[in-house]
Amino acid sequence: MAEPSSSAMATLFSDLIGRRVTFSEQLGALSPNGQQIYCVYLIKPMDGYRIIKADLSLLSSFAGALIGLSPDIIKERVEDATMDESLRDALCEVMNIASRIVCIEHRGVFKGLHGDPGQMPPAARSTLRDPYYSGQYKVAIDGYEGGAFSLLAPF
Amino acid sequence: MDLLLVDDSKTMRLLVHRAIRQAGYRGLTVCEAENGADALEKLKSLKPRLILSDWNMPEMSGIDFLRKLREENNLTPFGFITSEASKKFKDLAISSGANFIIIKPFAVDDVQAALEPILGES
Repeated sequence: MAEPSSSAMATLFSDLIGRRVTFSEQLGALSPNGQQIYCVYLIKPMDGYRIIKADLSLLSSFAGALIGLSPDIIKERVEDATMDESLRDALCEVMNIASRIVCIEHRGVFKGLHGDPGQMPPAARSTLRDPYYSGQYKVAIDGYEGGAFSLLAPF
Repeated sequence: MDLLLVDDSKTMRLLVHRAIRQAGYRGLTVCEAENGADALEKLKSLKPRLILSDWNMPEMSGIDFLRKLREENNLTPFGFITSEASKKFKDLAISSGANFIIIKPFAVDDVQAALEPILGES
């Protein structure tokens, strides 16, 4: 199955938040920074799950930039154990829009995000444990904190 | 009331509001609904000039909402703002009675180009 290119992902997120975003593909394992977030996408019509695994700080940068929060405010809210509702809603919207690039040949439907992978559907956990495809990227965002971003696929 | 904005995401409603203002439509009166069922309820007392709706929403999706409207002979101009970008979805939307589709992420120009034929120049 064809996978999204670094430039396609960079363009989508740049267009979304109105800032320059770059995705650099990494061949080795990524070093995660802090809490990880697992975004689950159901791929139609195959009914398999793809996963985006990324640093919470990175996804919060996308979400915060989308709604006009400064990097300092985002950091403050991320460090707060109970994530602010507006930031969480924005994060869900960012990852919903990302469904366009999660699977370029078929339809990806965003099913939710989890801080604990144990909360994901069993088939999604299986993708996380043993992916057929794994794309690893270092992401940089102009003016905001970047981080690690992985796309995992079962086929 | 000029516009009914239907989306389960507060963030997206905020972004669409902002884009509409930036497109020059500053005086529009906008009402919001969280999904198709909520919108149908609000339409019992509202007559907007345009409905803008997300596609994927809980309780009632945008396409089910549109079909229900057209079944009831409600011909209010209707546009989708969605991340569903495939031709299949565009064809389904148009054949079900949608006037246009704006694909997320969108630019202010996309919103302006879609609204102008229906609401007039900003």
